[in-house]
Amino acid sequence: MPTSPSKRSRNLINLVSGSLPLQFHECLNSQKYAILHALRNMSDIQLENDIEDEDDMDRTNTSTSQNLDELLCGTVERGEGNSCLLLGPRGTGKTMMLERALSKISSGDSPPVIIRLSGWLQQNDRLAMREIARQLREQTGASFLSAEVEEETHDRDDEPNPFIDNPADDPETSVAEPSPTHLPALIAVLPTLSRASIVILEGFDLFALHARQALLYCLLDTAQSCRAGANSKGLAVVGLTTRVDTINLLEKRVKSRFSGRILRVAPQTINYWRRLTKAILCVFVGEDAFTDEEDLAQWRTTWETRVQQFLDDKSTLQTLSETFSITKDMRMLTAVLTSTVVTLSPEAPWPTSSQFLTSAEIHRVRPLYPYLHNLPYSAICLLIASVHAGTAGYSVVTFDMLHEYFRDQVRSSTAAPVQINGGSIGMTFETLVAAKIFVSVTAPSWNTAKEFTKYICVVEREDVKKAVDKGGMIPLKKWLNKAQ
Amino acid sequence: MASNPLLYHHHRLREVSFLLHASPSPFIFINDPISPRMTTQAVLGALSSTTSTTISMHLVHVNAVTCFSARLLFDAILNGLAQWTPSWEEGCTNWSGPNDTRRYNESLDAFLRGLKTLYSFLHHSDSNLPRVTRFVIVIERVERLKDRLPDLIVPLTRLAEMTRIDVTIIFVSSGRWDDMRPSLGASPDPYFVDISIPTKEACVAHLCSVFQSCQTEPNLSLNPYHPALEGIHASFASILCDACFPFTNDPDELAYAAAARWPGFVQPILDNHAMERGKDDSNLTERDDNEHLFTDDAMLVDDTHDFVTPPEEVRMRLNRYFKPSITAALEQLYPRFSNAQDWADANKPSPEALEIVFPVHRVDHLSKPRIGVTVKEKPAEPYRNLTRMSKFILISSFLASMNPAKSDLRMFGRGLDEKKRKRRRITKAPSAKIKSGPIKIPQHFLGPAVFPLDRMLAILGALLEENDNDDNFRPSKIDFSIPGEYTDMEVSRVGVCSTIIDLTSSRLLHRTSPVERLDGPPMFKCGVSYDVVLGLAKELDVPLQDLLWDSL
Amino acid sequence: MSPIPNFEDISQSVFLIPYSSLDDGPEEENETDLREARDVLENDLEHGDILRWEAYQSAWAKCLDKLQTIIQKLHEPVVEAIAEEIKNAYTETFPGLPYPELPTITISNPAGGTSFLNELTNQLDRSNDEADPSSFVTHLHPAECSNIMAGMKMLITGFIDRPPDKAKTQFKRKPATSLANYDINLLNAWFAAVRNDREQRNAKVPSLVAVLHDFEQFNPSVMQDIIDICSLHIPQLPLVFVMALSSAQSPSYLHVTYPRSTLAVLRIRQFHVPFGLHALEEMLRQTFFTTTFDPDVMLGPAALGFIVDYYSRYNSSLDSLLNMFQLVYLKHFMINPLSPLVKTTPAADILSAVASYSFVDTLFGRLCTTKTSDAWREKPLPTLIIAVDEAREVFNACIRKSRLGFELMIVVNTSLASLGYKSVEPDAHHSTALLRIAIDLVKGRATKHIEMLSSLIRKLKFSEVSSFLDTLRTYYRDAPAHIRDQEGKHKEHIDHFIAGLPQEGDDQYSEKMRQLAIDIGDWLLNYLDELVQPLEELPLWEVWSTGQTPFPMELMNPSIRASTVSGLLRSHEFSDSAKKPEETNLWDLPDTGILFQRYLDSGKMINVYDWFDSFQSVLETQRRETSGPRKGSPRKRGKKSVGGGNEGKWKLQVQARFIRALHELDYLGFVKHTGRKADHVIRTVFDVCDT
Repeated sequence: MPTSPSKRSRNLINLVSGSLPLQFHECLNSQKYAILHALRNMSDIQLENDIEDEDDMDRTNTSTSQNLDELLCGTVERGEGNSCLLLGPRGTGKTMMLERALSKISSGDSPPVIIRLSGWLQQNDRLAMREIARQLREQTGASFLSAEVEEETHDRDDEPNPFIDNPADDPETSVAEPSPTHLPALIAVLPTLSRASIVILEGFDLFALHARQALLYCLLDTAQSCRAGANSKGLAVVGLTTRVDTINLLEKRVKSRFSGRILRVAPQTINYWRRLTKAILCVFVGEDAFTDEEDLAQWRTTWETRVQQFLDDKSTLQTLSETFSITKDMRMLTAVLTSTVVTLSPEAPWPTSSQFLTSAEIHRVRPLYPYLHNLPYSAICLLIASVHAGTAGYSVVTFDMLHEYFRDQVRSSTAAPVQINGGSIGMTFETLVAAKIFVSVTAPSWNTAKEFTKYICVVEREDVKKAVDKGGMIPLKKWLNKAQ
Repeated sequence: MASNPLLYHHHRLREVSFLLHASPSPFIFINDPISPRMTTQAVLGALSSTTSTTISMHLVHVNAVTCFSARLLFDAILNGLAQWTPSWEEGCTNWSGPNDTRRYNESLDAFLRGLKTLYSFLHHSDSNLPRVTRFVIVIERVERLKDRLPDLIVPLTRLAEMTRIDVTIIFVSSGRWDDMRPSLGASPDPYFVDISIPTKEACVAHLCSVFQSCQTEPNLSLNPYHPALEGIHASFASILCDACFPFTNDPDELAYAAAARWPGFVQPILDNHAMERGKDDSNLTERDDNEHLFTDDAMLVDDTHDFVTPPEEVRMRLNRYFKPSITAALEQLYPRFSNAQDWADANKPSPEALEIVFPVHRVDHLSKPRIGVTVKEKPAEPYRNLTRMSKFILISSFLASMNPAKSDLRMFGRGLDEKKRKRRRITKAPSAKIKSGPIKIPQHFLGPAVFPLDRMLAILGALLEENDNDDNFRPSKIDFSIPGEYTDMEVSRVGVCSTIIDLTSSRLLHRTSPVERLDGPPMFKCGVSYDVVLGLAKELDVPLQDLLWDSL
Repeated sequence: MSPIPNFEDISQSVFLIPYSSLDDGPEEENETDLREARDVLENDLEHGDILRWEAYQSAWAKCLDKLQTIIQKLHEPVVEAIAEEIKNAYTETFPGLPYPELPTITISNPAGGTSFLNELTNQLDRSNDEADPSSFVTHLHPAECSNIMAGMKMLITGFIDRPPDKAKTQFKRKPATSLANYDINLLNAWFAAVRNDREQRNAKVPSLVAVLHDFEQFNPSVMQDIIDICSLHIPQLPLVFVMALSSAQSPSYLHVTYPRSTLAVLRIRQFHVPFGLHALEEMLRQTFFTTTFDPDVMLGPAALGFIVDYYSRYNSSLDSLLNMFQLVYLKHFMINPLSPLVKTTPAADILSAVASYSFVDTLFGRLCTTKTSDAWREKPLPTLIIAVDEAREVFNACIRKSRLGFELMIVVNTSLASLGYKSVEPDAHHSTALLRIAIDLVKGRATKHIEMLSSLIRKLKFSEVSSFLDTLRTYYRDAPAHIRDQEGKHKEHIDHFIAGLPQEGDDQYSEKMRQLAIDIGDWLLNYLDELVQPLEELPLWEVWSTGQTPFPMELMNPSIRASTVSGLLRSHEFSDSAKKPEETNLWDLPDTGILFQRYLDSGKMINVYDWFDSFQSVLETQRRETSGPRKGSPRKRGKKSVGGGNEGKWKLQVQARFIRALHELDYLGFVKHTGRKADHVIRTVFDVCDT
């Protein structure tokens, strides 16, 4: 788009009703980059604390993190054995907080050995042990498990068990694992290391599901029993979980070993969100080779005013608070903001509340099938047929049934604009099945012909109706309305 | 083959690629209900096309169908990211770290370790300026992960936080995330990208892009994919989309149909052009298989300089002439009853097409314009190979599958008095009001039911007695005193049993009870459709309709 | 052959349980027949069995050889077409497709038998020169592809087992740290090596052909994935799938069973192996009804009729067809004492042997009736030999004539059919004109067809006459030499007719034409009548024709239940044939037989106690009869041990035998246990015709 030099005057700030002049494209781009970058690492964003904001949540979290820091440094410096549980709903920044604490500790003079386990990865104690041993080896250089256990290159590959189709337990992915008998010995090593050690258990509740909770028992027991001041080094066991009842999952003997220290991490407040949003959106664009100062200055001022407008917009606030009331998960905010920012383009350079709303809708509570009305005619026909089957009182549908309904319709009303032979309808049916609009209720069997497998239609009558109305084909409407 | 994909649903993908070049969210889910294949191609194209100075992006694309075991998935991802192609000479070893020869495909932990090693390796290897090294893993058809590798879903979605490296994983699926999301919120919600269903314009654009992608050299002689024909092709694409949209809007399918119809569609134009240039008939006939012509560079005669795009009314005539054949093509091609090439060969336009489209060429002998192009019919009498007995067996197995067992006596029972068989009077489908709860679905909707072998044999006996007794090869009736005894003998012959086994092995009958089970009769199920059985019954003049308990 | 066949294998339709003298069971018919083949017929030659066996072997060898060549000829075109298709599966390109399609060839081969696939594989190998084969072939069987991992493994290892290049070097893979052997990328790597090698020596890059045997048996869910995976790697892997289907449906099994998503990645080309009545026709026509080939033994009406019927009714596989022909031959030489005469007449010394007196006597009986001259009285044997040779000549000449007649009829018939006349009315069972005419011919009832043909010809339209004559003439022109010079005069007839064709302009054109047509009709009538002679009148005809001897149906297609029942009812006829059925009484039967008899007497439900009692009473009589001083074969199952033994043991034994017999019946499936009524079982077999 042409930009005459005349336009490049001070008052161009408030021209921007339409699209962005050329020389600002770079600014916009880098602004977007900056924002997205900020969204990724929120932890290092400084919020300007405005005075009137007095939220206790914030305070709990700060206290939590203080406790955590003390606990860890107690372990590292005074060689205590500690155990605690970081408890809080998803996306409240448990991990973030822990990482911050760890980095603080590790930057200290005696960096501890950090062992990270995750309930989703180490699904049983043996895997966990292998992982512990490996991480120990990586950080201390010494090997702690008998050799034949860590020797991992077996040639199991040439006989894939023909009887097992589920690769989860096919031989060559499952590895020779240490026998559980090694477990206490391995854990007992930890306090004897030259440095204090911190064991982090993500998804703590999942570890509680392991057999006899052996790992937890050993860890907590060692932690509890390692004496401060003795020549042994400290051990801290930090669990992260979202389940409030995690403590009750623990067996008695395990629970008795656990210090019972539960550090709660509270979700942020709506105010915090608002401030965060503002902070992120107004993140400072770094100097850039492509743009000259003046443009950049103009850009910043304009951008900030725009963002301010955007934030002051009632509907923006409403969307924000709605989202907040649905989930206090910080990642939700991230996603929404991301999709808002990403869509900005030279044609529509400024964040708008409507855009904000749509991206919120995409990510918040997702509509089942937003594209229903765009489906081809034959697909819609199938949906209507399934509605008819439903009104006839059939719990499940087979393709044959739907096809018959369709044929009857075609026969009865000459109004059906397109005649479709079974073949292609059937094929459309398959796409619907692939899109999980029709869900098979029976396990697929080799012995039932395609057209007779039982399905249920997950699309409600209402949605079909909407789709038909949007599609606006009169005969289809008529047909649908016949189903009462 | 993947024609420039950005023409189609491009703005969403621009966002994605921008996101990936900025700082992406670690887990992105792309949902495309119609053609996930295209979308994947598009994403890959978009990512590989744009290059960034600050980010060195390492891209890998794996297909969840190909990687049916965890090991394959791990190998594919690692090798792909490292751009390592195993070579036969080196014994097809996987990428195994910069120095050590560790094994990374044995378990999830090992894989993550491998991923980290690879990351640091690559990060140091391209360390000219402080660049961000970023892994992008695109997994196609993820819905298959759910039933194949369910316990991998959570780790994959949490890949970034577990490895603590800059990696983004992109799921592309025709299904929805909600259908495969693990329980207990074990994996974080993705950043959703919904691909909308392609509009007609998008499809037309796509077709044109396909045309361009397989265009031939302009200096080649005129051929269906000659650049000069682009205009005509555009109009062709639009009428094709008009014709096909009620059935499908899958760009791939449209392209398929187009590929099959286009050569025939332009044929008159080409012939006309040839004639204009005073080509003799020999050349004309040689053009009949024009779609192969452009591949040989033998005739590099530049005869296109004088080619003029035909006027509007010619196009109108073309469209009118070929429109019916387009839906016909789809009917054949969409279910793949025939493939594009064979269909195109079978449906070359008849010479009179030329005369219709260009009345100039109409020869004096009156040729009444027949409509359209006729779709070649498939050879009839499909089940000709069946022996007479197996036809009877199929019919009786269908009856056994469709009729309730208790009805057999009424349908087939023969007392001394030849009482008429009474069918159940047809009842209307009961309305939901009266009963509560789900209603029994009529059998013909549920398909064939399972029956014991004995029952089918009994029905077979009845059928044979009724419809097969005119046999002149029957031994003289003397040694068979009791009526029906002969057929009784027949149905217990080895021939019948082996026929049943043959039918089972060719899946016209389905055996539902395990072969190794000895007690009780083996259970079977009819494997052919009503229409087929109807055809067979006509052939053997068996009154099928009277023998069915529920009339279909 | 294997001692115990694998009965669970559902791909087998029939199991052969070879007879060993140890086991005896109900299904013994085949075995008995075989045995009586060994023993000498009445009025047989000396060593007649050996002579007949040799005669049979030569005759059948000749016939079988012919049949197999015919089969090959039937298959040849299809095989070549497929090989061609495979060759340029990847060379011809079709522009504009959204993605490359996986070339797939479905072969529907209902006639069954692996012969076709073998021919195909041979063809593929033949087309390859040893150095660089133009295609690598691997075979997949359903059993090996129970799941996708096994399937992919079979597919891939099937290819990579052969070294990729001339330097026949196989590289050792360290399985753990290299690609899994079910990973398609392994195949990729291997083929890359192949490609390099070929391109260095600029030879053609081969295609990878996977032949899937009994495709219907493959688990579709597994195959879908395999196909998907493969389709993602073409064309860099030039894979071609060849699917052997055992049924010819349309839409094909693929379309019926597999989802569209799978079909969409395939480029399916369908091929059909000739089968059904057409195949039968060809084999019959070219073997038994042609002027170019003389089988030693002609099929009689009974055999032919049965073969046609069985083929069209039960089993249309070529293998079973061959079996039937062989059986006909076997039986012919088995029961017919005169059959050694088929090709040669035994020398005088054999005939003069004492053992072959009756044989010679019958010959005299057959031949002397015709003419009694002095020659017979002076030196009978040589005359006899001469007479036999004469008879052979006569028969051959005659049957040649009638074969020629048959060919002519077929030619006329087809030409008429092409003109749109329906000369032979079809019937439900074997609806082809050729078969009808053939059967009636061997029955000696061909005249009705002949008359119909001639009458049709008499009524021919004028326009059609000349074309008809042309077909006749061409037939004669192409006929083998001996026919041509032997039937010269008829050829002249035709030429004369053609010469006699009146001109359009001719004033009494129509009369002449009509007259001509009538002449042709009459000529054909007489000619065919003279050609087609009923064979039964000829001397010793049954030597060269199986005549009315029925086909040994029980061998092809026994009725299981019937034979089981008869085995139980009349077990003696199987065990010792000396005994006449009427003089066996109930207690003579083995226990199971006795129990079964009682079973037949009882009602729908059997009270086991009553059953036992009745059984016991029979055994009592049996005991009395056998223990008494009575000649006759001692009964089996060690009953002498009980002779006068104490009662307790006897009771026990009776019980034991009862239970044993009961269990046998149970195994045979004659009783059904339902808990419905205490100690009762249900009959499963009723109204057994026991006569």
